[in-house]
Amino acid sequence: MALLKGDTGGQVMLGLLLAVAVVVPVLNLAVPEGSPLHVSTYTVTLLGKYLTYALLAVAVDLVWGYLGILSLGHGAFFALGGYAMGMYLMRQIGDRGVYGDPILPDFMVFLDWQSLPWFWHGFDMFWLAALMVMLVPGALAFVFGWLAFRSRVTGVYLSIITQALTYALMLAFFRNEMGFGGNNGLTDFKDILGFDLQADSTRVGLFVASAVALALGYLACRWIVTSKLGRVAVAIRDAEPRVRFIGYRVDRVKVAIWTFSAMLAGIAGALYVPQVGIINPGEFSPLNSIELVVWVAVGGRATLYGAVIGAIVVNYGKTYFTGAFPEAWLFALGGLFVLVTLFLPQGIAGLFRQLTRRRGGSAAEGATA
Amino acid sequence: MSPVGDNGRDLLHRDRAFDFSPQQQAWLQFKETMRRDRTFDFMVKAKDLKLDVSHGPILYIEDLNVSFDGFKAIDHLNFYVDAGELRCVIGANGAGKTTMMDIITGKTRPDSGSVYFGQRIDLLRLSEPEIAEIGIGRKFQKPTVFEHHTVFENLELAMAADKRVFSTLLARLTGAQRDRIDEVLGMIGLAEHAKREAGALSHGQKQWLEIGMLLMQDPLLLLVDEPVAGMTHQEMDRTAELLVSLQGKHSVVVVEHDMDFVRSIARRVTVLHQGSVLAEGSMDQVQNDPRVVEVYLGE
Repeated sequence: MALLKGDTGGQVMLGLLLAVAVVVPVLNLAVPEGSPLHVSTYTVTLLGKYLTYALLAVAVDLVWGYLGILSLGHGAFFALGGYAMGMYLMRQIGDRGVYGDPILPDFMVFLDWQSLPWFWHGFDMFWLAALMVMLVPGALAFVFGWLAFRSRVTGVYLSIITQALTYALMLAFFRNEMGFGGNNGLTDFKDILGFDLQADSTRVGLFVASAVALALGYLACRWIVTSKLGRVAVAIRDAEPRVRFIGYRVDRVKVAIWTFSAMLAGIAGALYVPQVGIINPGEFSPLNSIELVVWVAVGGRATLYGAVIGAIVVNYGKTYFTGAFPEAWLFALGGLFVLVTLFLPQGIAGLFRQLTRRRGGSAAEGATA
Repeated sequence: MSPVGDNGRDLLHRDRAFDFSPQQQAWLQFKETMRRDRTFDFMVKAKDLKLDVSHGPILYIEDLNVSFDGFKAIDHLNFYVDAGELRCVIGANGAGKTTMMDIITGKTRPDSGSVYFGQRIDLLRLSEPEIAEIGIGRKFQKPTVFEHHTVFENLELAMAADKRVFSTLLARLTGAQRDRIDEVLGMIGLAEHAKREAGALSHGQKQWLEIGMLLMQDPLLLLVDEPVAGMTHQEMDRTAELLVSLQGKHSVVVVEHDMDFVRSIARRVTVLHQGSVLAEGSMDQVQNDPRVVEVYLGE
């Protein structure tokens, strides 16, 4: 637990996460439905979705908060991980699809394709799909990062390119010829690893898996940022040329952390898809990636746990607003971003830190008095 | 006379490649690639390069030219530094002092000329981290320390070590490394500030920290750009002491405006003017040189 030394926010966050991961399943499965304490399966799935968003936000905070790379395209890595999982889930449908073809997913039958495209082979095996969930976003990030960071593309230019990356992928995935279900994406999933996706227990299982993934992802990022490499990363964020002159290969450090972050985003996407039951090209939408940066900004940059808070708070707000005042959501999001930038430049985590410091400060004063 | 032939190599070192037709340029490029003294040198790792100072100088700059938008920042500059020497470089603003350092450290690429570290290592073929790795350290004019790291961490990051990604991820401080950091903290007088964020230091302290970072790299050649700007007289004396103590083991090039400071440390002084060397010699010789008096000291 040396990783969490001095990380009060992280300790609190992981404690809460553990509590939620234990209590919510109990309240869903063991408490009868009529009881006021019962947590509906809908809520469990909603919370599970938030947790995958939180993991995605942690991945963004790692590269934005600690390395200074403002990625406006992390949604692309999330969506690619989601598609890899979606392909596995599609293959699991087997002959239970509308057209009843034992091999081909419905959309391929509909398009009159005779056989599986080459890249769909092997996705009926979970281990391969699970590997691809990390490898595909990782490989894309590696190639992209290698080209961009070696050419020293930074700042706004890099942000714009990441935005273009996700937009280009969105347009490509909209095409039926790509072989990923075009406009409709992949959906109508039946089961995962033999468990029925509609069953409460499977939903709870996915929720717990999301919580575990978030905790492990958080600890992994924490490990990186507390290592010497993490200190080099912050140094790159603050004075990149100086880091080069003391002998670090800045481009390689960037590519390594960037690729790791993309793989984390892929895992988040893979846990997201079975819970929401669909993946379509809309997930590549540039707006998603921008919204994601807002979560991190609201939660507080360069704290990691702030990203978790931000993702959950903003998405809870989104769920509430889109239900209560559907028209107002975008205004609320925009307003939130403006308010946070003006009054809470350190985000919610900054507020939290200020409060604990003030309390610590007054306690110290009390001791001297 | 045909420009291509056995003397193609000499022609390649002429300033202006655009004197040649594209075919001639391609031929010269081909010859450059096939030079037998440089066979497969793209496969030679920077750290495998052996520094050779058997002829005396550790740094050779020859016939160097750089211009920015038509302004000649460096104009046919020849400059040599002996191994173990402490050299001061003076000159008015725009004389090309900082540009020269930028070229040595790989930040700026010259239009023509050669820069060698020892007799063998061509610095123009190396990247900034490679140049740092073979032993050239630099202190910037404006102190750039890592503001959000503590003083201790600043020194730790600069420390000579395996700086590849995975080694850095797994790096743990050894006792010897910790001792070395403590030693440098003592040398730069920041021992009691070790845990402070570097951003909170005074200007003079940041200068010291940057010199400390340079020492942590344990370079063979130190390039020090205006080390005493913003320092009190007392601090200046300590800086002078420190720099003088480095000579012998390290070669040091100091760029400085403060003449008192230069006088207190320099054995040899080089005066730069409009991108080339105006005068070189002891402080007294240089100060009595009428050209120098006219352009610089006479002001």
